[in-house]
Amino acid sequence: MQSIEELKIQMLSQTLQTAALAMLEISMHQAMKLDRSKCSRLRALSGCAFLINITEPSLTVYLIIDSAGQPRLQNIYEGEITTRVSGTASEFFALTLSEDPGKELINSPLEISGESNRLLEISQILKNLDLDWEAYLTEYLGDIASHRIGSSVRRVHQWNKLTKDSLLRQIREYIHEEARLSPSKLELEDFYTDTQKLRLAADRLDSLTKKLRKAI
Amino acid sequence: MKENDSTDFGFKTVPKNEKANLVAGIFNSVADRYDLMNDLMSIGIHRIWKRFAIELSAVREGNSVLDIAGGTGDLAIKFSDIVGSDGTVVLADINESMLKVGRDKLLDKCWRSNINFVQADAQKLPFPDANFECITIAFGLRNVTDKSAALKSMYRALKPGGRLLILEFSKPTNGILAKAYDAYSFHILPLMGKIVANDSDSYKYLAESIRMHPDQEELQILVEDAGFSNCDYYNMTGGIVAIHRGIKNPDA
Repeated sequence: MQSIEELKIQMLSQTLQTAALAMLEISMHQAMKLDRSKCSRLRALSGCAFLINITEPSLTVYLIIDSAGQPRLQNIYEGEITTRVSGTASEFFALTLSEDPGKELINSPLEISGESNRLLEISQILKNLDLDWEAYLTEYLGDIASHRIGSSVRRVHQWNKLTKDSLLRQIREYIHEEARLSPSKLELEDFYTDTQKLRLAADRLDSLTKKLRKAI
Repeated sequence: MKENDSTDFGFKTVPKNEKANLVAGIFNSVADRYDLMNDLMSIGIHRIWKRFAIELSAVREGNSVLDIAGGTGDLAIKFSDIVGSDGTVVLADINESMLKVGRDKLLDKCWRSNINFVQADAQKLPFPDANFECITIAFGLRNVTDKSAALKSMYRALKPGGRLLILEFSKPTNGILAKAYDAYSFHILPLMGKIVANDSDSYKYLAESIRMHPDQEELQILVEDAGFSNCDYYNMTGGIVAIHRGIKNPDA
């Protein structure tokens, strides 16, 4: 039985959870507007309801694709569930970061029941959203301004990517070459190869010794 | 005045036959700024409460929904999308001004043809028996003169197995929250009404009518007495608002 304090927390969290789902749903609808090709793919899933059950922390969310192909997020749903997927928050987080959600779904400890192909389909659609922000801006700012903003954003993005790559490379070099805090990947591979060779030689020596003992 | 002939109008006691006109006066006065004031007064949270009510309604494609005291159509728009072209949504309100504002708003939003507008009294709904899968009344029941009559009328208009949802202000479950809420309702709310809508009396009535409305348990008893079964309620935002749910017996 729940205590009064637990019930109070639940009542407040109900409002917060509904608000969070509402915001997430609005973002999803905006994203859909920016990638029209995905709308038709989602329409093919209309009527499907996915139950996402996060065990730690405890949270249940329903993702429903309505008749217009729009995703809806709900706390409560009483219709038929197409697919149930259950796991911890970190397992779901790993899924969202994965390059290949299909592979991740199969290999991860997430529990899936129902039509898994539908779940794979929707995770692919949501993962591969190709947002055309420039087209969205054009509606409000016109061609020239939105193109300039788009170019600037792309330049900043490119600069960020180059800076991040360069920084990672330099940190790696410093750790491996300058400070010698950790061996490099090549050194590590050499070490593993040598260890493997040594283990095989030891095994051979062991079997040779056993053979000699038997002979004596 | 006999007790049976009188009812509450905020903290005042008025003859039953006068309450509807007094409430109409309030809504005629606030209709134009109703949405703006709702957003300001609740900091937009009323949208979250309405959203949760829609989730509880379990309305599906093809259903018929009646939204009583539908006012400016917040719920009707959402239901319209859910029921689709095979379903219908009736937006009913006793107040002509509110209905007009709602109709204009939906026209601006290019509402679907599945929404119908009806000026109707919740106590005497002008619909056939067993006509709707779901009936909702959001922030309207406390303004109804005879709540029991209204609930019985809703029961009659629902299909067997259909559900009623009442979204209404209620009693905060936490003492500190209740005190803060009282201070907000009786001091800040009328001031806000005066500044934004140039009408502090209507918002004073709002605060008073909320206090006079039955609390969670009392309202649940009223719903059960009207014939509904499987009745329950959900407190939202610490009980400032409660959503009551009742099902019409499938064998009725």
